[in-house]
Amino acid sequence: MEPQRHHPQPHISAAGPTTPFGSTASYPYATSGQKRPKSRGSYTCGRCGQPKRGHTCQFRPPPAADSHPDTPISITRTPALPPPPPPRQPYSNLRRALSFDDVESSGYGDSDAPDPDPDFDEVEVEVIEDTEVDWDRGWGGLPMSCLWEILRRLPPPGLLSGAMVCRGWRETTRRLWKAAESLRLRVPARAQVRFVRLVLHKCPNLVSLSLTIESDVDATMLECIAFSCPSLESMEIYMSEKATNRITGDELSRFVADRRLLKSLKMEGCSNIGGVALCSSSLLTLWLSGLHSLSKMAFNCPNLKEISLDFSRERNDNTDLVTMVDGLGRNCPRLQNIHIASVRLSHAVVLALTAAQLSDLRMLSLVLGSQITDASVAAVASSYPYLELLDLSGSSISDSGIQIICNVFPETLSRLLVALCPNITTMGIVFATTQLPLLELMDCGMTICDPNASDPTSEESSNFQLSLTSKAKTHLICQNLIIKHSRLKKLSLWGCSSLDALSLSCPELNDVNLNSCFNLLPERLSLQCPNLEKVHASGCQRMLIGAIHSQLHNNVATMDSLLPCKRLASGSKRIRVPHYLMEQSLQSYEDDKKRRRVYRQRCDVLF
Amino acid sequence: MSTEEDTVQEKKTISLKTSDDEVFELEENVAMEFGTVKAFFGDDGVPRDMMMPIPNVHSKELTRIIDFCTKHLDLKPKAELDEAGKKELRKFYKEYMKEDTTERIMELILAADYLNVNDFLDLLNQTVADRISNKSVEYVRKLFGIESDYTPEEEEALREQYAWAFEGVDEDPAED
Repeated sequence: MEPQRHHPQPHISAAGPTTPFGSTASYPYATSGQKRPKSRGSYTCGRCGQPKRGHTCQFRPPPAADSHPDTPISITRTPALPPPPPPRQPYSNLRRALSFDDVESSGYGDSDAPDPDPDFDEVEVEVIEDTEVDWDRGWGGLPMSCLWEILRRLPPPGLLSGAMVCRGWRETTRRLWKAAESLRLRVPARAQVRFVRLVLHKCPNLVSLSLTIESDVDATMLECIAFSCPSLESMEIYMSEKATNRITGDELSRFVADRRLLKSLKMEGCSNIGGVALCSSSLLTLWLSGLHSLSKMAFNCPNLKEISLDFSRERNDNTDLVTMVDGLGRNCPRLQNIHIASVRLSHAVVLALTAAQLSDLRMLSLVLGSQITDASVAAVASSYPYLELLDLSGSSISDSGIQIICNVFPETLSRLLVALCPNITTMGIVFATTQLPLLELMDCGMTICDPNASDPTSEESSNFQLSLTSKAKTHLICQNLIIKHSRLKKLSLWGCSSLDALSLSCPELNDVNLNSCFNLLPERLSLQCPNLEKVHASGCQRMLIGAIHSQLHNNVATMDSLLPCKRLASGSKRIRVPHYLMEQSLQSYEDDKKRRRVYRQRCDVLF
Repeated sequence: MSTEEDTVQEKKTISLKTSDDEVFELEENVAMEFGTVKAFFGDDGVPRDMMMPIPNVHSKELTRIIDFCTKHLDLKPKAELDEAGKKELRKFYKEYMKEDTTERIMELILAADYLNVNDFLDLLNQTVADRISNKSVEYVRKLFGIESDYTPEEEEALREQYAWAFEGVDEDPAED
């Protein structure tokens, strides 16, 4: 069941997920820049230069101290003809340690390896290295390349204990660590710095580090990271709920200033960052959440492209946002994506932003600011007419504001989010969907509903679950919404409790959120969206869910009866094409088949 | 006269000869899942009716690899189509190696590695990793048939260093 709160989050990532905080398994598997193709090394043996096909390399350098004493050493070099097959040694007879030559480090990374078990998110070591494969075999046991593939799928604690099995395994794990460029680690509550130091010591080439921390963390962690990872380019610190982040602004500033290569920094729980002055010419991405009462905030990051600042929702936050935004505008002229979530957002802040002349700005998200009005929209629209994403959720903008948006942004805007804006009505939503042709995502959660029904910004209800009281005496009732859009992919109407009729005709729509639309009547629902994959309907009337199901199946059924077909035993399908159709263009028949394949896509209804 | 029955595509097969001199005839699309075979025949005109020797692979392993590839080839396109197909593929991955001993998996790894069957290798490697994840060092040694080559002092030192890494290790399961 989807959580219903509006979680202000940067909508920024092009390829990544949209819940940066609190979710460890959500990153794409390959985070490092150099993504090598999934090739298994070249086809010539790295040592003797012969093609590897059918070749067991007989050439070996003097055995290293590690290798087992009775390792056979072949003398002759064979050409590319396959040598006689080695005797098959069943594994149970293996009684000696796996041994390895001291060759160049073998193994290769595979950043596309499937991760079928979603619980396997504790820790991951990602290896990206495209070197020669060690084809040595024949003494029994797995060659290092195979052992490498197994061990690299283990979490770091598994690697550490794997090193204890025998010397050969230790060597393999050592090389795995050394090759690791990206590490995602869950730091245990006890002896956390010692743990991190131990692990980081093994991977000096680390480029990207992500830590999920279970107990209080302070600057000693930063020092440890600074010491162990000289090549660090990306760092993320996520806090588990019970842990407090005690890092101060000065400590963070010092850390950032000293990291010449740091490109991306993301940190949660920044409640102790009292004031910060970040100076970095390498930093491109900065996400800080849990901020509170900043005395000063200076960003001297001339190359910064993306910034996300999430302030805690407490009322006594006295951050001076105007000065901060002013500084941002002056010192970070290359900003493309801005996300600020704070209840103290106001028109003055917007004016400071528009005065900044950020010519690259494409995504702007200013959420939770109930003092943001239509005048703010006008200011943004006149200064930044090329926005692709605009998020003004939680503001006081009205349908006029939407009209301004539609006047200025039709050629660029693809994502519009206006959740929790009580002054927006169905008219405004229809404006947007009829006048913004490039729209792909629209969030109108909690707009068409009684603003008095629940207070979404109250601190206690951090999830905005509507209490379904029967005294829903709303003056906004019986609202009808008709949306037709050729490109819309994702639509959210969660919490629109005043909606009682809905008609959607969107051929590209994949996902629609109707959670808590509890007044939506089943007989007044029309879903003409053949590509729908997910419908969220938690909190809706039972009969509505039934209506959704039948509407989806109707779409499928009508298409299936186009041509008679039979299913053969092998599972393949043979379509009987009547003779007279053969003369006609087979092209249209092909098109029909394709369309049918699309319709057969099943849609999940989640409730 | 052309019947309405399916026109059977002329079956292209590829022959592989294993280490125990058995010849397997596979459909071309299955055989091309083997990277080594694909490279062997390639685009440069090695005739497909030539028999390819695979001396490092026993027929027992090859049978199993062919079985996996056939089933996998069937499930993969369905998984791209919808959620149900994806679920089926996941289930297939989960269940396929359940009954095999670790020793057997090792043999399959060697064969699949030689033949370059990436999808099967992923599954095999993951299966082994899952089996040793969170297990004690002794268990892992027994599973692989490995004797420790550390001196007792080294072993003690290592244990101390990684003491906390062994918290939460599973109980050794019954003999594999």
